[in-house]
Amino acid sequence: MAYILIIDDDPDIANASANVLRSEGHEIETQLVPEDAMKSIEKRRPDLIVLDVMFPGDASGGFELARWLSRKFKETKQSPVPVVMVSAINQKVPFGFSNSDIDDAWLPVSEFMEKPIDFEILKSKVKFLLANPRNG
Amino acid sequence: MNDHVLKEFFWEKPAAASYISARSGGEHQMSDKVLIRNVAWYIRLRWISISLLVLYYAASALLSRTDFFKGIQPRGPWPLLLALCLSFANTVFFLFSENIKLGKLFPPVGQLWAQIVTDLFGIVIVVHYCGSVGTPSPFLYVLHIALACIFFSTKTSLLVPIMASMLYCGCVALEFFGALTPRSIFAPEAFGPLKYSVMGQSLIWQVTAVTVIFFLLWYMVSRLSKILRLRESQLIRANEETRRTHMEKEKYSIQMTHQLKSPLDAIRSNISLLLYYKQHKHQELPLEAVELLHRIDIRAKGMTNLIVDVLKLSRLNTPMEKLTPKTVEIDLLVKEAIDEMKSNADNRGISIETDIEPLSVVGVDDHFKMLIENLIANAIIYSFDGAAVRVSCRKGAHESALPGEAVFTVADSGIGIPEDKVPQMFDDYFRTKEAINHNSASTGIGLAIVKKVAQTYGIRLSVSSHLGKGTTVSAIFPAGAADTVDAVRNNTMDAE
Repeated sequence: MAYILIIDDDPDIANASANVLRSEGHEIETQLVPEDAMKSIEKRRPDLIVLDVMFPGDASGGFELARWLSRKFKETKQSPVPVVMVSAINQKVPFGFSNSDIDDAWLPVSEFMEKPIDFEILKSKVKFLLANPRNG
Repeated sequence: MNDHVLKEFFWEKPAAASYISARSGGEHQMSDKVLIRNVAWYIRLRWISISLLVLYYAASALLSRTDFFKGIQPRGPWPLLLALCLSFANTVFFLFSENIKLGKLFPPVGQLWAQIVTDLFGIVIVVHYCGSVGTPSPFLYVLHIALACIFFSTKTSLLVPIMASMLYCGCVALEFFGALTPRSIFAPEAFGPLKYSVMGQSLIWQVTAVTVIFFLLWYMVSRLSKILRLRESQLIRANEETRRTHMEKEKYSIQMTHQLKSPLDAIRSNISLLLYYKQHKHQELPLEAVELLHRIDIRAKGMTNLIVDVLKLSRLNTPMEKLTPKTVEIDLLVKEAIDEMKSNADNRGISIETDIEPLSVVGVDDHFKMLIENLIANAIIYSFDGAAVRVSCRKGAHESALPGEAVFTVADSGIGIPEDKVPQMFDDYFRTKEAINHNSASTGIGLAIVKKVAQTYGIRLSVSSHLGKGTTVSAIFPAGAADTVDAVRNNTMDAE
């Protein structure tokens, strides 16, 4: 099974997603702060990342981390790690964004999900992306 | 590519497009962008002048003995020769302006000055051959003096009237002292021979008058130009400030939404986790606990919906001139909304029947999306399980619609609205008791949002409802709604 890194400043949401994915047999690590997540990624490459958008004191922390990841793997010529981005600011909110905003430069992620996370959808997206890491 | 404000919010701040560059000598100057455009414009103007010279030569050669040219003496091929010289110069200017590498050697300001100096010398030739005194030809310099005042600072533009005066006075001096033969296009038999020696002092007065007019014109136009440039830079600054304020407001709204929504999302995540454990790990939970969890989830969801709806309503208060209307394909928005809500409808066995044709209107897509989503969502929410919702999007598909008017209609066979409550149904926070009983999580703001969007775009709303039998709501977009963006802005500003 896979090693999944969950990066979300809300411990309740991070814990809930972690428990669900752990019950699927995956190894889970959670990080509440982008900087700690980056150190963790440097130490050990995850098979998949679940990434929040906004962090306290850094409204675009998730965006910046996604772009950092994209640059890092391009520079080292490694295959990209699939990223599922989650946010409370979603397409139902007037200036939210959605899957249609995903692109290599601005929002280099594989999938986008709204909060509160639907666990069945999360499980199916994780399963798909682990089987097809270059998709999305 | 999506041009949501979120892109700007999270991306680098875009450089402000400006026609006014940094100050030079205490005065704002035109930016390179404007100067480059005017280099091209000067070149086009010169081609027109060259054509006029050639036409004059051809006409004078062919028609010199006719009544048309009576009183005008063509005097030689100078127009054609001047036209050839200017054509050569203009071609060189064109190559410099079009070729990026050459252009780098010679910045736009330099190119403009080269063209101005060339023109001034060309004009002195025209002045000499047309007649430096007794004809209006010296006033050909006036255009370049005025244009220089517009493009350059007051001090810099002074060079043009100085050069023009020197060239003109030089021409007259050469003619006066016999180095050049005085000429005139006005035939001698019509106006008498030119006698510089007779003119004497009046010649000095004429030359002085022309020179004074050059400097007066420079003074007036440069002052006016300075005022206009200052005003423009103030407007640009004010616009930037407004844009920054708007961005700050949007940023605050996004952060506020996040702050308010996140705790509710966390609550709902924990509820989902408990229910997940019950379902997948077969952990026992008393029925009453499960029921309570569902009730907590409903209230949390209602809070979330309220936050989002209040935010949507406040966003609709953003003045239209701050938004970017564009052509929006309503049929695609309808299909997207149906796709999003289909799973909720399927869970209750509600089918969605559609009758959609391609329809475009001009406006902000977010606004139309809110209108469409709210009407479809209401129809699904207030339908009974297993019922059908009909969504149509066609031109003229309403008894009160004119041909060509786009009509979006949603019909359900749900709880309906009491007749006496229909006039209030679009009021903020209004809910009938039947609606509250059917769906306690509703916010009562959805139709207020629909009404606000309709008012913004002049959309007529038509409602037909019967208690217990269902509701049909039609949104009739005004004819010409697919017209220009400016028409939408003007309509909105008039309504406000």
